[in-house]
Amino acid sequence: MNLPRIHLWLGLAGCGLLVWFSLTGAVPGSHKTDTATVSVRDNPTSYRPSYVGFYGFTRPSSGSGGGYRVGK
Amino acid sequence: MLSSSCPSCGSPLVFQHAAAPAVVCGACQATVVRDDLDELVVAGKVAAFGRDLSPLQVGVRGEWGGRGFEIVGVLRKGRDAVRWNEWFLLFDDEGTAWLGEGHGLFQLFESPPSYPKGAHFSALRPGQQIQVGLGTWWVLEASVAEVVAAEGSLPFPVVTGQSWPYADLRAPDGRGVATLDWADDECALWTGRVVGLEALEPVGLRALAGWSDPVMVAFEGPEVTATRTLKCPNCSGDLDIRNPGASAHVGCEYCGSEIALSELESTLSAKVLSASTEPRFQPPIPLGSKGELGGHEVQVIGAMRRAVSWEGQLFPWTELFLYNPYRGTSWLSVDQRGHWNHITRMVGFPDSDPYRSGRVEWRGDVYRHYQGGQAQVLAVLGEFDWEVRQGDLALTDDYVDPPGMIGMEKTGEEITWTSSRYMTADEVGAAFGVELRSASGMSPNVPNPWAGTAPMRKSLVGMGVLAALALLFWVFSAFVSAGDVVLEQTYLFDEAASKVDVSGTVTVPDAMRRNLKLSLSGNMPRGEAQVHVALINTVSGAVYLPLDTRQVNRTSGWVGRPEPGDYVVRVELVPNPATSSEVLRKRSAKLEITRDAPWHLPYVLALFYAMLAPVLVVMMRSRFEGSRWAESDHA
Repeated sequence: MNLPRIHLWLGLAGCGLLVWFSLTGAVPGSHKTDTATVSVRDNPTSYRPSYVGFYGFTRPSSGSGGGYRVGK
Repeated sequence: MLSSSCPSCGSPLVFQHAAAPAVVCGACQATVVRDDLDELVVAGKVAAFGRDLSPLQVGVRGEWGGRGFEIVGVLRKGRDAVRWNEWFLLFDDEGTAWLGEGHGLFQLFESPPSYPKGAHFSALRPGQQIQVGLGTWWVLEASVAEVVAAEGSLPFPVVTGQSWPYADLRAPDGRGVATLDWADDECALWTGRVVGLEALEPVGLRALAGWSDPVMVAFEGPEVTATRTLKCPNCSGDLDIRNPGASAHVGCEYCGSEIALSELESTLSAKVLSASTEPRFQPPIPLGSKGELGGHEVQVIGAMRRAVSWEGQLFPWTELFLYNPYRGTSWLSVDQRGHWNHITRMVGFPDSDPYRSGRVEWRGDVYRHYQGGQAQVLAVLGEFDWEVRQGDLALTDDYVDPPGMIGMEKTGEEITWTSSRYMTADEVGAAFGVELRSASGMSPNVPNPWAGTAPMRKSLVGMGVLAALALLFWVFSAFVSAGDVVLEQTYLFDEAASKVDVSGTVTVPDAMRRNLKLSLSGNMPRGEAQVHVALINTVSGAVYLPLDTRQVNRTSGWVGRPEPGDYVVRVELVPNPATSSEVLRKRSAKLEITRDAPWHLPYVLALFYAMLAPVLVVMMRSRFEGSRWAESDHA
C-alpha cells in the first residue's frame, strides 16, 4: 500500500471538495426538517418540536398546537 | 648491465642491475647468480612462467609516483592449488619494488623491508590483530608459499619447490597492506598498497584475446589466447579455464564434478576431487557470459550455490565469480528472492571491533550487524581462484548500510572482508544482456525507497502544493462569502420556567442563500439550561433546527442552503429544574445569526492534511526499516 500516493490522490480529491465548499458555501448544518402548518406559521410560539436526547430535563412544554412532530 | 652466457646451456644472459643479481635463463630455466666476484653460479632450476597467466609480462614499462620503471622479472608462487605472481620492478632511479598479483588485486611494495623483532609465524591466526613494526595490522592469512615458476631478473636466486612461511596483513583503516615473510632466518616486513593496474600507466602489456580495456591499450607482442581448454577427467567435457593464471578449482558445467587444477611447468592438469553425473544447479547468468559492470567488461567464470541453515531450513543464494584480466575479480550474488549484489574484496579491515560493538566503520560509514551464521557450499560450477568444494563451511557476518553491505567470512586459514553494493535485477540484466526475474520481498541492503532527500523533498513539494491550494480556496471562500450579521439578540431566563421567544426575524434573499450560521454564547455553565432554536419560514413553512443544545456558554450551528424568504427565529429556553431561580436570574444567552458565513474548518483540516505528507514519508521509512530488521538476527 503506497500511503503517500494515496495521500496525494486524497489530497487532490479534497481540493475538489474545497472548490465545492468555496463555490456553494456548503456547510454540514441542519437542513429542512419539516413543514410548519399555516397556523403555526401564524403563531410560531405554538410550534411544538419533539426534542429528544436531553436527559434529566423535562420536555419543553411550550405551545399547544400543531399536531405535528419534528424529527423522530 | 653485464652481458654474459648461461653457465648451464651457453645461452646469452643479461644482468641489468646490481639489484637483480639472479637471472632465470630463458633457454634452460637455470637460475644463474652473479656473485660478488662477478662469477656466475647456477643455483638450480625453476619452471617457466606461462605466457597466458597474466596481462603483465617482463619488459612492461610504467610510471609510479613520477618515476619510470620496468618489470624485469617475475616469481610465481603458490600454496596448495592457489597461485599468484610477484613482479620485480626496477625503477629508472635504481630503486626496486615488488608488484603482487593475486586474488584479483595488484599490491605494490616499493619500500625496502624492515626487520621487526618478535613476529613469530606459528603464533599468527587469521583475524588476529597484531602489533608489528610501527603499526597495528590484521592478519589476513598465514601459510607457507612455494616457488612455482620464475622468469627474468630477480634480486635473489629461486628454484622450484623452494618455500618459506608468510603472512598477509591488512591495515585497520584499509589504506595499507603488508606481508611478513621468513625467507631468511629473520622476519621481513614489507609494507605497500593496493593499486589499480591502470595507475601504473603500463606500456607493453600482453594483448589477451577477447579482452580490451578503455585505458590500458599499449600492448606488446602477439595476442595471447587467455583461455585454456582441458578435458574433464570425469565426463570428457571441455573445461574452459578462463583465468589460468589463478584458477585453482573447477566445477564441471556438464557433469558437476569437482576438479582440482594443478600446474606443472606451466601446464595445467585436472584431477577429479568428487565425481558427479549432472550439475546441481544452473546459474542465472551462464558461465562465459560477458557483461559490463562499473564501466569495465567482466566475464562470469564461476558460479557457486551456498546456503545458511536456520531452524532446519536452508536459505540459499548463488554467487557468480567475475573476472577481468586487467581489473581483477569480483562477484555477483543473488538470493532466492531475486535481490542482487555486486561484491568486491575489501583491501583492508574495518576500523572497529565488530564483535564488541555490533557495528563496523569503513571509510566514514557505519554498518550495523544484520546477521551471522555458518554458510555452506552446496555446489560449484566453473572456476575459482581458491580451493572451494561442496560442503565447505565458513562463518559469516553481514553488516549493512543500505545500499551497501560489508561481509566477513572466516575459515580456519583465512579471513575475508567484502564490500557489496545492491543492484536491481534490471541493472544486472542490462549489464549482461539477459532477462532476470524481478526481486520480491526484503533483503538486508535493499535501498529504502523512502530514505534520502528525494522522497522528503517530493513530500514537501506535495505538502506545499496542497497547502497552497487550500489557502487559495480559503481566501476565495472568504472573498465570496458576505458574512452579514442579520440577527444579534440576547435572551434572559425566567425563573425556573421554560420560555419561548419569537421576536427575532431573519430574511434570506434568493441571491444570498448559501448558508446561515447561528452562534450562541452565554454566561452559564453546561447543564444549567438548554436552548432550542428553530427557524420557521413564514411563507413556505420550512422548519430548520440548527441549535438544540445544553452548551449555552459557547456553541454554533449551521443551516445549509435555506429556502429563501422571511424566517421567525423561535428560541426556547429550558432551565434545568435543578438550577435555582437565583442563579437563573443572572443567566442570559446571546444569539448571533450570520448570513453567507465562511466555513473555515475544511480549509484548516486541509492544511493539516497537507502537512501529513512528510510525516507519511517518515512513517513509511520507519516501516520499511522495521521490515528489513525483522528478518535480521536482531529482530
